[in-house]
Amino acid sequence: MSTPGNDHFIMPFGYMVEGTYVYLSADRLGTGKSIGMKRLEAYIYNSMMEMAEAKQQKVIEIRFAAALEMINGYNIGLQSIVSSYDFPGMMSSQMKSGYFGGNYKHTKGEGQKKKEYTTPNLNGRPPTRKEANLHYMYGNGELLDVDLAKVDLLFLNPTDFNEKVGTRKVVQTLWSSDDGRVFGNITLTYIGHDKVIATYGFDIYDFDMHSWGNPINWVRNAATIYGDPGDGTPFRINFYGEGRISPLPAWRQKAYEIINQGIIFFTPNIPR
Amino acid sequence: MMIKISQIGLMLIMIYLFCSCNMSDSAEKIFGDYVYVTESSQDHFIIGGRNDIPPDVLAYEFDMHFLIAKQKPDIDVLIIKKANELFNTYEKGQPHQNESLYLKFKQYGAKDNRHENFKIAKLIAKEILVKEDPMYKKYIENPYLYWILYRSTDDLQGPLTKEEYEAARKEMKIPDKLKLD
Repeated sequence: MSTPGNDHFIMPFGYMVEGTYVYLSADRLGTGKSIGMKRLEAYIYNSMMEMAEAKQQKVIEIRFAAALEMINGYNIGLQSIVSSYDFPGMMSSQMKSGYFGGNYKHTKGEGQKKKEYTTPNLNGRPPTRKEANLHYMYGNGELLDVDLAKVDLLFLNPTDFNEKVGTRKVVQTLWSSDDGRVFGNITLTYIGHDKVIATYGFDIYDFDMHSWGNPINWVRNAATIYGDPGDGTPFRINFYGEGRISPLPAWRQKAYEIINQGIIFFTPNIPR
Repeated sequence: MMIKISQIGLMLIMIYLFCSCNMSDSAEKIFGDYVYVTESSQDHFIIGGRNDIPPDVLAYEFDMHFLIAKQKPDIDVLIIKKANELFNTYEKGQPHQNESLYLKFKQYGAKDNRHENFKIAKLIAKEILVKEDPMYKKYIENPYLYWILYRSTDDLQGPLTKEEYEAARKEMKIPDKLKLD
């Protein structure tokens, strides 16, 4: 195989850096030591990072997933990674120019996934957390419309709104609702008859951090980091329609029935 | 040692359970029912009782009698709110109850599909706001708008332009020390 100068290349069975070809196999590296697949993945990933640093380029798109794809590519033959990052881009141009004799097949990198991603048609259904994460990663911030009637709000009842029509309230859905891990806080307005509307009609799916200066935010920030799927674009979820909450508790309904029937209670005057 | 391990374990369990995008949402109590809600870095608003100051509330101050707030208007919120009103009216109502709205939806191709109908509602909302709504004009023409809450009566004034806000301050005798920025 000819040496491609000082450029950096990833090839189906190894990679080229500074004119030196490093051979990789599933069970052996150039060192002759046997390694497992996990270590091989890590090795490739680290090598890619080193190459990126050597070129003093900002590492943006390279992910561990890309290394995994390379492994997958290796397993099924002449495949390699193409992501939107610069040096895989160079590799791509070399491939296109016939450097590898056209004997290759692209697998999907992050850039391609982003191009190929289409917003799912949920028809008003709340997205699952996995769907929301994918949309965050590849959806370019495109908004989603969700029918409030399909969001689980049955953990609420009118007493949460002081039973007053028009009362606004921020509701933390995280623990109580099946959809809580997607929506977090929702601001609702009670409109009577066990129904609510979204006060502003939207929620933002994001991973914003709060100040580390306040200890209250430490667990919150740690959870946000843990839940963050990676680079992505926050998107707006628009709520439409009316959400159904639970009716008043039975004892409370009974009390209202009694009051409506005009029955007056007298408190007996008990002598001390 | 055991206590430390159990504490760390508990924290890890909490982080796992909390792990969610919307741990980034927060609500900070101002007074009474009033809270300052952070939905994202560009979306802050105030709600309390039957009042709300819509996004994006950049700053607020209060004393015993007043709450004042500065808002950077978000036109998308206005459109979605209006779209929701129209959508709910259309979905609930009978044609004869609001014939012009019913016809408008039909004109845009409304069918028996709530999801698609909401998309239509957004188009109609924008059309109506642009043509008819004075609030829309305020939102478009002013980089910042202002709100004043008179606490004793729970009376909320806004959105106000800078000039309207200054005039209202004088009229309501809001003390100089209560100011924004």
